[in-house]
Amino acid sequence: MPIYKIIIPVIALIFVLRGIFLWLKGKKTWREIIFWTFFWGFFGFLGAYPQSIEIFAQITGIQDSVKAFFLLIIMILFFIILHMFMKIEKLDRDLTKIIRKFSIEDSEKNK
Amino acid sequence: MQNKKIFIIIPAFNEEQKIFGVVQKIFDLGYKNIIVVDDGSTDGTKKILEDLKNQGKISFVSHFINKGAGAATQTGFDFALQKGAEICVTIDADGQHNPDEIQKLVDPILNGECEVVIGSRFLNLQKMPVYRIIFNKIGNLITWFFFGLYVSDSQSGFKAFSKKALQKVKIENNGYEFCSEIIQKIHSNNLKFKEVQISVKYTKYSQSKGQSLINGLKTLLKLFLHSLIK
Repeated sequence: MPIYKIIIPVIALIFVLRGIFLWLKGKKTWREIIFWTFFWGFFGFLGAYPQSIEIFAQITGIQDSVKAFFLLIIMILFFIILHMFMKIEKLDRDLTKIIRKFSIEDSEKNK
Repeated sequence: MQNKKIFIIIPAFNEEQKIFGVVQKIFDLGYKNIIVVDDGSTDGTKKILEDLKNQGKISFVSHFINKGAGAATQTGFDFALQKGAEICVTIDADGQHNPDEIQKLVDPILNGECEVVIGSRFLNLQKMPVYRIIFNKIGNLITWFFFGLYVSDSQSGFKAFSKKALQKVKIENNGYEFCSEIIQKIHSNNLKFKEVQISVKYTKYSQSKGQSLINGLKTLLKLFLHSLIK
């Protein structure tokens, strides 16, 4: 069995379990859990049964091994983008805090 | 006017055409604690605000770069709390809200009915552009989906907060998604809220200043990503 058939569903399962854990802690709503379970379930299913995207393969002409490779690349890119988004968001929020602090101090000085 | 210290917060970005009129109207109504947050405007807004400040009508805080409506609103809250605010009302700078209705938003807090009052444009049918109604309904559903609370106007900029609510609702999102974030924080902090019907004046100007489809999609994408990483 190719290793990706195990890795991709395991990653998807980790995200689903993480979501359920966050739901139990009250940080996500049950609607979000349903949505993200379908989202990660879709990826996990495609990883375990890449032949299920035969329709996609028929349209694009991509063969099996290439198909799996593409799926992996898409997932990796997704994680990289997500990671970058988190970093940028944090930087942006930190920048806002600095601007806010200086702006308020400035306003107090120029009373 | 009232015993409680009421502060009016106006986040403003490039509002040179309307800001003077909006501030003057609020001032004439007797509200003396007006804070305008200039969010890095590049037009003549800052100059107008400096004049208004010199006339003693407002206090203003100026972001030296544009950070977004959410960031400007939280700056206004922080500044108001620092000045001893007990109730804060947020109102848009583009003149779409009627300052006469500020009291409608403040009264339920003064009467102890709730901690947050949301001015809703959708409690009564009125002349509104159809696309606005559709955008708002979508925004309400998405807000409900992610944050578990359905309100009739989740994207309203006309709201009132008690001091207790201000201490709990700390806006983290810089952009327009802060409106949904406020709903989330009302829900997660179990704050009592009330929706009050407000009127709204849609002009070509206010429509050009509001959320565009692209902004709406960006906000939606951000809400999805925040939901994924929280």
